[in-house]
Amino acid sequence: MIFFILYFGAIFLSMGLFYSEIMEESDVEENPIFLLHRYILYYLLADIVMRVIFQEVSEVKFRQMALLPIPKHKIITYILGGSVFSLFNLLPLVFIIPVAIRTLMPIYGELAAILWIIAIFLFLVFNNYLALQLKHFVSDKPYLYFVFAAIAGLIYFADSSGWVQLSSGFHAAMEDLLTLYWPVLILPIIVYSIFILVYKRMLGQAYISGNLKKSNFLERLDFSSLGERGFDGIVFQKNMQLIMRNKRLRTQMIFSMLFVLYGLFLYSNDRYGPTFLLFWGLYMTGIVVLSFAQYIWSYQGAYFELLVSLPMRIKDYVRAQYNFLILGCLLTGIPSMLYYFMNPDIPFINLAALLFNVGVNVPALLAASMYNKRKLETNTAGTFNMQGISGLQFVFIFAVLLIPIFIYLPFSLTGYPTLGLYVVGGIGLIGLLARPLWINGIVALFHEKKYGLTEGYRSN
Amino acid sequence: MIEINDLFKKYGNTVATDVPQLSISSGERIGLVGNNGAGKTTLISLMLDLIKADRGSVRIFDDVITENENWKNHISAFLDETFVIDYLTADEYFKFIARVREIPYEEMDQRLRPLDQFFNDQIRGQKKYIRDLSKGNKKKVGIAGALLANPKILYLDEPFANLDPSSQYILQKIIASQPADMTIFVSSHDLTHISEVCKRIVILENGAIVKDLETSANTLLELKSYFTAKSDVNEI
Repeated sequence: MIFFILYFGAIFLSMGLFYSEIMEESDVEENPIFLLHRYILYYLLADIVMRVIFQEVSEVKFRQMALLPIPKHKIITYILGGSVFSLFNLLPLVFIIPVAIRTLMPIYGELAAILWIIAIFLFLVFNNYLALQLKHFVSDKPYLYFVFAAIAGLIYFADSSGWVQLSSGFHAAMEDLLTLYWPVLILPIIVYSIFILVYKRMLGQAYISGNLKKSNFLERLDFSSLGERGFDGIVFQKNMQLIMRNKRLRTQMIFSMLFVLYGLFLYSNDRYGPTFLLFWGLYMTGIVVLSFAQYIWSYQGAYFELLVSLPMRIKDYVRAQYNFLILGCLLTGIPSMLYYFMNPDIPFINLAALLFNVGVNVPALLAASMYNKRKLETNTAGTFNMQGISGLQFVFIFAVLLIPIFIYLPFSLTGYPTLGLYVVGGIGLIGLLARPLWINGIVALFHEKKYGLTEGYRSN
Repeated sequence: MIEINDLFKKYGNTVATDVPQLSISSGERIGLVGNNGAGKTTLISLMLDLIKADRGSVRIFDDVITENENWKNHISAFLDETFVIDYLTADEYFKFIARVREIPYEEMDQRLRPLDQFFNDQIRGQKKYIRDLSKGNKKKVGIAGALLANPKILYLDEPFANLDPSSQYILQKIIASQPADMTIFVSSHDLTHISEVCKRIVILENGAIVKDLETSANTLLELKSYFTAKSDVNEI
């Protein structure tokens, strides 16, 4: 997570600082300020779609504070007010502020630039509350999420194809703001209205209980059709529930899934060499499961004693977990092959990476996960959460991403990059075929480690 | 049915378990009492192979529990919250247990039906995760999950604690109504309940068995006088 945030923070910052230069270099004919406004509009659209999934009002905080002698309307004001300081609202400022200073200020002057920053921030805050309101509808009727997402997508296509002139309108309004100043006064009124809407609704909910109706719609999927399909199905169902019903895991998994889309940006640039592409292939085809695999026991630490005392063979359980992780790799690995249309080498690179991930990295991390004796609190904050994470785990994740690169490099440096990919993929394939051996090894290690794990999970 | 031999476990310099010999036969209702730190939970954990003994063995039927996993088919246990999956609803949890233990859903419902009074309409059909239930209700879910298995051997650690008074009596009746061949091993601080439920009571102190009693009309008095004497030390 931290990696994501730092990475995107850095990209936003450099784009913000060098927006004019980037625009000059790329030979687009449109007015760069118009394009800036158009991108911001698209960002705001994508932002609202993302927020409906990720942004949450702290129910826990509400429940804690509800016990104190504070009037309910004050608690709600406090919580809603606090939600302004979420990463969703702050991270874009890393782009907004430098772009205002370096690109807008020279043209429109200082006051205009400052008002512009305030305006964009208010748009983000508007999204902040709009998302909370939409989320309320979505939690009653989950399919509405797809309706909202489709509407956002439709607006994007309608505008980018020139069918409606939404971004021109937005640009014109923002131009007015930059030159006339006073239109900025409209925004607080709009933000205040949506705030009041959310506030009234929350006040109307007499109390916030652990009632599932108000929970994230992803939580209420029960995956029961999986559970009816043999022992593996039972484990798959339980894993899916574990992921979807625990905020920390859910956030992490969805974010890593979205990372596959990052290829759209990455592969449009042909500056990167094959070694870098292999690294990304490993990352893209594996990140969803690797981050889960390396904590697979810690995530189940809260009910570990149940698992070891139920009459199921640990071997069956390990095999089911392995199969689950293979499916997870395919879930991101197969869509990543579609980048063929941007760079025809990608499917081959990603296939080698995928094989290495399922054949070597997944079982290696399944084994490594038994070296973390701390249980992970799964339902706490989704971002910046370091509870239960040890430095050793970072070493593991880097090892699994770098070892295949070290295998590949000698071939690529001596002029046989394709052979290198064959070797990486071949090792993965051998690992995959040796699955029973891996499983036996993991089970043997488990029987050795289980007492330590029981004790570890019990004590923290 | 359960044979403990020379079972010994030490944490640092503290002896947690020191049981040279204990035999429990089929259908016995055995109560484990002792003050905090006497080693009740450690003993049960050793009997579930959750803790590694320094020496000695626990045998269930023909299996030494550290040697294979067959014995798990005969037992079920509820020690504490680590035996429930807190992100499931109670019904999902029961289904999970039923699927793993290969119990058809109709049979699961049948086995849970006698617990309706115990559940008091707060467990089944609730759209709440176990983590959002009260401590007492969590416990009920865990106990029900263990009973659901209809095992040959049942371990319950402090089942009466955190339950409301009515539920405590209902649980007492539930335990008494289990099939006669089910061996039930209960630990508790509650002398009254345990002497009602169990025909044999074992008192633990510093990990060792200091008394092994058949319950009779006098048992409760005997237990009370034992623990009163313990608290009646000169230092106070």
